[in-house]
Amino acid sequence: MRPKLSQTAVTLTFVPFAILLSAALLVAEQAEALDHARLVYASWVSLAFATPALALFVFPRTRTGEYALLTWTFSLAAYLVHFYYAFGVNYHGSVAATYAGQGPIIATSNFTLTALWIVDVVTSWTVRREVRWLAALRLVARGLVLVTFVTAVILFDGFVRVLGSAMIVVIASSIAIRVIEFVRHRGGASRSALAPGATAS
Amino acid sequence: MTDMTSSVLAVRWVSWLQRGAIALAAALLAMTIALVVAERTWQSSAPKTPEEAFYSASTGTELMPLVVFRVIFDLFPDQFQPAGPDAGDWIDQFGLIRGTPERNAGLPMGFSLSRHRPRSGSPSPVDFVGLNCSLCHSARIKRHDDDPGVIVPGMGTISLDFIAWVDAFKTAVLDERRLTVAAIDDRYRAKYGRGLTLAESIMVRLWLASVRGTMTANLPKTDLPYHGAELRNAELLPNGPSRTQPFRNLVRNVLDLPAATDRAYCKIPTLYEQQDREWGQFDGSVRDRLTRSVLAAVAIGATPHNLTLDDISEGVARSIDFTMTLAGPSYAAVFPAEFAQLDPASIARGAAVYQQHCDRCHGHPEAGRWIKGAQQGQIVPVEELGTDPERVSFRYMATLPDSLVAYFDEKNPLRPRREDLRPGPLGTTRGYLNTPIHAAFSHSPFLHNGSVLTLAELINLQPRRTLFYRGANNYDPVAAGLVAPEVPDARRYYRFDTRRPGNSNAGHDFPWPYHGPGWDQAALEDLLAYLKTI
Repeated sequence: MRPKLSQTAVTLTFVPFAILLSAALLVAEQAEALDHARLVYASWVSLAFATPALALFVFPRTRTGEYALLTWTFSLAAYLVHFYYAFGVNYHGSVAATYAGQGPIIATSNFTLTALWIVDVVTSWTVRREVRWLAALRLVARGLVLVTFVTAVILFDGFVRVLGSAMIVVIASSIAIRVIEFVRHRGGASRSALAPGATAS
Repeated sequence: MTDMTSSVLAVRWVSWLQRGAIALAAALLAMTIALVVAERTWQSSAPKTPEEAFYSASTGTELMPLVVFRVIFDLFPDQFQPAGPDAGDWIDQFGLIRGTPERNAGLPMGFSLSRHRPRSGSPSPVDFVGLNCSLCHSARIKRHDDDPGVIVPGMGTISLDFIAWVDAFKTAVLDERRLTVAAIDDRYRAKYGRGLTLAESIMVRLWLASVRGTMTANLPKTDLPYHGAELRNAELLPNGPSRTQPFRNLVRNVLDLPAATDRAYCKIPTLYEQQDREWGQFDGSVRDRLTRSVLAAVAIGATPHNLTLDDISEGVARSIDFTMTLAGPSYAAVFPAEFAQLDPASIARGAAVYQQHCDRCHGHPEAGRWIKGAQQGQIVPVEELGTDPERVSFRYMATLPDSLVAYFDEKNPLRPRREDLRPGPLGTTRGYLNTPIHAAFSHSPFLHNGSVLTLAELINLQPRRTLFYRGANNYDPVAAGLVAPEVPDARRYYRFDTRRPGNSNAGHDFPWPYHGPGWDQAALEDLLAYLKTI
């Protein structure tokens, strides 16, 4: 279900997205390998926006909110730039070359992730009524994104590890808060049920 | 009421600020995307035929924007005309071959155009000038200074003073006072009637900052370049015309070391009929043909990355194709009058001498193909051959192959295979490779270091000269080699002293040492006649 978008939310997400993605594409001009640098820097932007998107997804009250949708969308946009340089430029748009270069597990995972993420974002903007399979799709897409970025943290050194580690900390903290809230809520509900004068319905 | 008005105004201001920020951010992103899209249209394409590639392909060694190339030689006559303005322009003074208008915008042979920026190979909106194969592997055979001569593709240059030219170029680039965007713009306007365009101006500015930074950072390895009259001083620049130090720059670029003790001076080799060569380099240290070209390009500024760019890798591959079957020049075609005077009986006797003393190592031509000698392709230990040892004893010779492999990322398709480099799994002999000698007369000067001027001297029919001067030497069709004076002149300025380290002309005393046991003048004259026919 698409939330109503406020101008403030658009400003606070789109402006940094546009600046960061522009910087990613322009700073790469100074690199030894232009296309590869753009591939890497775009993935950093994607990761930076995936972090709040995934954190917001942890909480039911913000899961379908405007900030979750916008950050998730901009994360995908940056990822598609990364995907273009990886698949379109590096592997010349050849599925066979991608499989040969990345191996079947990583290539399949990347293609699946891309497809699911696109479907997820498109349906987030277009489908008015949330249905169960869409909820499942959103969970799977986010899970895949999380696994992909965590894998990147494990496999690669450098700034991506810093960003990825920050993402892990933020999401782990969000989950911890969510669990605490859940436990408190259940505890509160139990105490209300046992309070003097309470009556069974 | 006032509070409410202020509040509404603040909200409006915030709203307008937000809209402004969104609009600016959108504009920035749109311009960035427009730049990225435009860059895709700046890409170069590889020349379509192997011959075009040999003359025009980018090898990832872009040096400077074309607009700079058009004026830098005018701005620095002190560097690019070290013998003075009366001794010819920079093309003459550094031994290049003039280009023709229909190829590479008329640049001298070996300078090609591309839309790649130096090092990164990133797209450029303006043309850049780089180096390609034909710079070093083309030569002009001429009998006298005014002779237009014959240009021979694939022949190693006999006149290009490349190392000195590079030092002149570095001196010019490092001169922050004289080489500025404004100076280039002024000179360009005076010469061509227009100033630099915005794109040219931006690219020149970016290039200057980048190339100066790189050169300055490399000074601890390269030292300050020589300049002016120093460029013709053999004590300071011991390579001289037609020679390079093939591993000095690789040591600098790959090992990040100065290679200060390297004296492995080598002449530029011929590239004929590469199909007949399994291993390359005078010491047989590189097998794969692509690897040979890649390492040559890396030595003069290409990178493992830019060599993988589509048009560059295609251009390099097609250039190699060109040399696979490239026939050397025929003595009969270049010197028809002298060829007509050769005595067929003498040639026949010379063939017999060749078969007895030379064929085992070098093979011979027969019915349009090269018949391999029994030991052709083998490496003769330097102690046995007796030629100058510097080329096969330079520091880091043992460690360089491993470093060369490691210099390329594991996923780089150009990463050399370790077995294609020696010393390595396929041999550790320090010596020189027995090679086929297609168009033997055009291999002058002879031996790996170019220390022997003529075939007559190489086979010890005539004594080898100890001291001579090199530059734009003319060709002597009788002795089959270069004419070199014993005193310098404006065109032959480089003092080649064969007593200096790396310059020895000793060794390879085949068939016999000069006036040594078995020496037979008549047989050697016959051998020389035969050698002019192969």
